[in-house]
Amino acid sequence: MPELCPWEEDTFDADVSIQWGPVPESLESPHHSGVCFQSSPDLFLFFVKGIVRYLVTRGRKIVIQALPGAEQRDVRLFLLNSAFNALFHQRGLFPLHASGIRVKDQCILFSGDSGHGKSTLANAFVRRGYDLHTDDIAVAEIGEDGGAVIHPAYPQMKLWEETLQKIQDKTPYAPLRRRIKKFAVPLTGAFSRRCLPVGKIYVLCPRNRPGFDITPVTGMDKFNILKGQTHRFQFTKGLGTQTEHFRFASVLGRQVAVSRVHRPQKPFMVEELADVIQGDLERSGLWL
Amino acid sequence: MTPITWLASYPKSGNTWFRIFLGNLGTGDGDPVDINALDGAPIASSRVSFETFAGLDASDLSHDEVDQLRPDVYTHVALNAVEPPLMKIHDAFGFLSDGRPMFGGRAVAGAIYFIRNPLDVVVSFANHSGISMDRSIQTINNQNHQFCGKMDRQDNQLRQKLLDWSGHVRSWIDDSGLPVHAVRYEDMLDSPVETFYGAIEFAGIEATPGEVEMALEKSRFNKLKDQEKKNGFREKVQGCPAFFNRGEAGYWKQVLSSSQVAAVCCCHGETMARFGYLDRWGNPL
Repeated sequence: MPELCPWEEDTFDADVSIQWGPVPESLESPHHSGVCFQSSPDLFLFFVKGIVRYLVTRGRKIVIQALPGAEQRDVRLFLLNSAFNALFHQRGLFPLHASGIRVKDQCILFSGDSGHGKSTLANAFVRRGYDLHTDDIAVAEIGEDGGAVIHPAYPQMKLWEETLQKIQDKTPYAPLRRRIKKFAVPLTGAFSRRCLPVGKIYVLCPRNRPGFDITPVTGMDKFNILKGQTHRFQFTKGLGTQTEHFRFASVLGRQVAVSRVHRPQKPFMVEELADVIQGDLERSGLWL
Repeated sequence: MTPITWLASYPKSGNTWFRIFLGNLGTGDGDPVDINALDGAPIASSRVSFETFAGLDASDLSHDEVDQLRPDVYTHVALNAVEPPLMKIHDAFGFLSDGRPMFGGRAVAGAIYFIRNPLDVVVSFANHSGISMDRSIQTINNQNHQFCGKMDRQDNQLRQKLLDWSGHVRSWIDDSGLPVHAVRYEDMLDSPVETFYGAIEFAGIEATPGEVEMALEKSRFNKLKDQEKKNGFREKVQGCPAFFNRGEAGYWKQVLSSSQVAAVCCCHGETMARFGYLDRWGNPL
């Protein structure tokens, strides 16, 4: 797994084993299913037709069966996304659909639906000298002291060609897949490697008029946003972990400030957006 | 399984007006529905909805790979629906390379197809997209026209192949193999109660003519325009002055030149004649 960081601790007890092996085409009696997945309390089957199947078991094991002709990078891409998401859900962790940067030893999260600019915004802060903590999926956990923390992911961002052109980065990065103009952008040094408490969550909301504004979110609205930003929330249905997720959203909501950030749909003025968010963090005392 | 009824149309043909009408149907004498809070008839090309039912990121797939999964996504929509789902769709009806219909099969009950004089569509689409009339004509004449089909970025919707205007009409009415109820925009304006009532009857929605009249009153064009003026409309494209612009039939006569009219009629004359947009001598109406 070239994307992941090497293990640097003294102990070698693995939390999860990932191995090649046969994976069934379907589960016997799934509790819930979607187009590319089936799930029951201990088992999660994820499949990309013609490419790969994954069986994720009890948060401890992932078996992968690559189908003939599958490319390794495709197998790793889907592993690091939906298959790992199922693993997180099984382990009682809470994957949020967000990218995060490290500011003042806290994780500032940028959340939002696909295409709303999470990675592009996080990249703008990386270019300003801040460490990336996670891209696209932020794995949260309630720590032993009751505080929510975000686990570091791995030192890579996924950026579209259009974004790279806008920031005039002409490095010949490797495409994530053969037919997709989205690239694996490795980060060397600009990555934070330990769990961080959550500083603030910004929910990115493009809109069809000019100007930026930041609106704090409170009450049930906040709870619904946090629930809605759980990555692959639909996986919890068959795994039976929905109640834990509601509880987590409620705990997180009590601890962390959440704001909606409205920005113009077009053009995506990422530097101006980063300025607006930096200003808000300064006012909140969260900036350096 | 609770099959889907599509609200299908080429853009700017009355689909949004119908969805607002549906939002107002059955709300009695309460306030008109907030046009920014329409929760019925979501669009079939929603990326969020695709990812929810598929369980993976559309951005990790090519457009063609996404297309292969879309019929299964709609099957899961139908499997999970509590009430008969209505979904808006701007895609032309199409078939996959293995012959499967993209928007058909067991998961689909049929389609209400909204059709509007393409000369008015040109004018409305130009306003909607902030483009010139000539560019709008090029668009509706383009057999390869598509939305969100770029390869180098992520749009908020899935790729939609629209074809040209005639191709879009034929794909649904002639080629889909679905039960299709065609609704002319001009009839929605001229005989609203009968036309809207006929459409909801096709979709299996029960309502009295009185309720239809009441919902139409709340959905009157000027009221929608007032709401947009006051609070904006989230479905408007940035740069478009107003989504609810004129809403009338025949405005093209004041805007398009004779050569522009000819460019549309030349390309779409056969379909225009079929739906009453040309007179017996081939002149646009």
